[in-house]
Amino acid sequence: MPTFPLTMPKLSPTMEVGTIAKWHVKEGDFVEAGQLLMEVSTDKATVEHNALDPGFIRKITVKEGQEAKVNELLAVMTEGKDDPIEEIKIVQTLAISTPESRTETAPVAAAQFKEARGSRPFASPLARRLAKKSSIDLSLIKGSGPRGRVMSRDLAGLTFSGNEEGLSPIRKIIATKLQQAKRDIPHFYVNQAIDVTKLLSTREKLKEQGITVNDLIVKACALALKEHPNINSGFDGVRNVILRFQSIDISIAVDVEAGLITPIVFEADKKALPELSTTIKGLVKKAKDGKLLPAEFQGGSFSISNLGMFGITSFNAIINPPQGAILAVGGAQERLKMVNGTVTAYQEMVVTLSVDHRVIDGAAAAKFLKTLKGLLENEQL
Amino acid sequence: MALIEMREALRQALDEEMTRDSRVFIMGEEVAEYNGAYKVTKGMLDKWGPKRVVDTPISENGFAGLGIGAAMTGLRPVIEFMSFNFSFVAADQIISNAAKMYYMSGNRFSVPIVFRGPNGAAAQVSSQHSHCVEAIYSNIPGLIVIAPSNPYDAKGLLKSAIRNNNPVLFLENELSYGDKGEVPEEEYLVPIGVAKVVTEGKDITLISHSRMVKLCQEVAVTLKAKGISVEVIDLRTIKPLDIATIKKSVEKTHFAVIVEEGHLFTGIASEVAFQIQDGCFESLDAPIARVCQRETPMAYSKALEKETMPTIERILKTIETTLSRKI
Repeated sequence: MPTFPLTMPKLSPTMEVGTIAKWHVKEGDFVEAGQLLMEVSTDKATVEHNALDPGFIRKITVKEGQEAKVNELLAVMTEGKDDPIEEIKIVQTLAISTPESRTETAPVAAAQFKEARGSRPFASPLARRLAKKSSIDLSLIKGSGPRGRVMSRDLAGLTFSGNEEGLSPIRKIIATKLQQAKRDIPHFYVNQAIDVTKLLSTREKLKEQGITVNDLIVKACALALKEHPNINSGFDGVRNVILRFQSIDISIAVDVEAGLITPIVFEADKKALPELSTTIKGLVKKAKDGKLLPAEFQGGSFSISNLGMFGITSFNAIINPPQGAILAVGGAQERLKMVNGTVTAYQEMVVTLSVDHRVIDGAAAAKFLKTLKGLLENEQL
Repeated sequence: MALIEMREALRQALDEEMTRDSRVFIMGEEVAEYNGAYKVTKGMLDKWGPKRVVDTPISENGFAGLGIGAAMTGLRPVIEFMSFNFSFVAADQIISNAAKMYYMSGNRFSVPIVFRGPNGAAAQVSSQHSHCVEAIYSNIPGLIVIAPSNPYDAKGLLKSAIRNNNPVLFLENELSYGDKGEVPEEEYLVPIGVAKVVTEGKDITLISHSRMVKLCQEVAVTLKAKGISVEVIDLRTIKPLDIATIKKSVEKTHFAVIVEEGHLFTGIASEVAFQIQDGCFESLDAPIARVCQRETPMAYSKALEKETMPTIERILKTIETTLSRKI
């Protein structure tokens, strides 16, 4: 094959088009088999691609930054440095023509090219199995075995070598639901630092009644939601309608052995602190024991995820659809601030509201957090 | 544990089984007065007397048949062939009677007999006395074929063979009779049909039996120094073949080489290779390879004899090709 084409390789199972991010060779260069030719940006990543056959780069038809479909001609190569250039045209026709016209014009070079590659990559049974498992296209791998056979070592680094684990039913729900939420919901995040010095001392007083910091936060959220019903809203992505929830039903993220579950405190705004606290305790216990009824965790109008007990500063939570917002609560940390010219120590807690921009805008989120901050800093809850 | 020779381990097995079961007796050429051609039965005549340690004329077909008849009528004979090459003279008795009797008699006669003796090449005994018979006899349904590589297995397997109710071919090796190995003082058995990983490794599996196991172990030591971890499997019993142990290993290493003293064509290696690809095709990263006796009658010449049989060099070269990397 004195003249042969270099075409756009299929670098991932879903790749249809690639962009030449960088050429590592120029016209007239000689390339060895295995030498780095170019970097191709695909739908997944930018991938380096090496030459499969040695030869001279005679003409580059797709420049850096340009796109080409899979199997489209990128460059014309020749075996010899000065092989006749006339054949380029033939090869070019081949590369961009349809399969039907290909047979009509079928030049010798094309037949040889096809034969050299073969339709079935040469690979060991193990390499085939590993490639299949990791969705690797064996035709793109240069084999190091006898006669170019692809062996498992040629896939090193490309295959997954750990143990695969099936999804438990709860894991499957978490995976599906959160993937969908993160993909479909235009999240934005609003942070608010809150001075919780007073809140923590209030909690000390209420400790004997079994009231926790989390209970106070749930209560404060319920009151803030009452004041801002636009936050107590959601979005039905299927019907494209905004949902205005009638009652304030707060889902609380509970870490259980199997994963994560969100039992609901119904009408949280109407419950006094002790009742709220008892309700939450009951729900958490049921969740840990795996005894929650569907009605107890399906639904809700707003969510709270609290990782404060682990001492983390802040984090961003994924919205629990069809709800429109979720509050991520960090841990209280001692900070210093200036109060009337004096350095004062205080306890700071950072909360982050993840918001569905389809329902709630930035200003609304900010106003809600301002109310929440006021409640947590000053009010007797 | 005592360090004893293979011949001593075999003698202990015979002696213990004769003590345990009065139906067990030994018969063969030179087993009694001469104390055995390779001294396996040394002192046995003195201890057990001529009724249980019986010298025969040079008539393999005759005394093999005699043994089979004795087994059918309730005794448990151990028949020694001075060499398994001579078993060919008795092949009709072994194949048509010992192996078939249980079937032909509608389960009325089992044949609890052991044929034992040296198998394979020794030191320059040429083509008619160097044969490896395992591939020939393993082709026959009804026979158990055992080929131990060391004193411990030899003793434990011979005891199991004597207690087994089927005809067993117990293949020893002349060059291994003097090999020493640790054997426990207390009684033990080695089960029939269970292979053993004698060297653990992760890069390639070497499968062998009888004297060739030693070669494989030497290869493993050589390659360990070069950073290649070789797993060596001693088949111990050829038939029934313990493919599970082999499979487990190949699924780990992805490469298999079979080393067999016997001939290439339709050898034990062919069967093992078939069963590997049948059982773990998708674990193989290269074709299965074998190192066997070359396809020629055994030469008398010392140099040619060595080259006819598998050598360490040949095994190394085959591993290099199989792994497709320089070693």
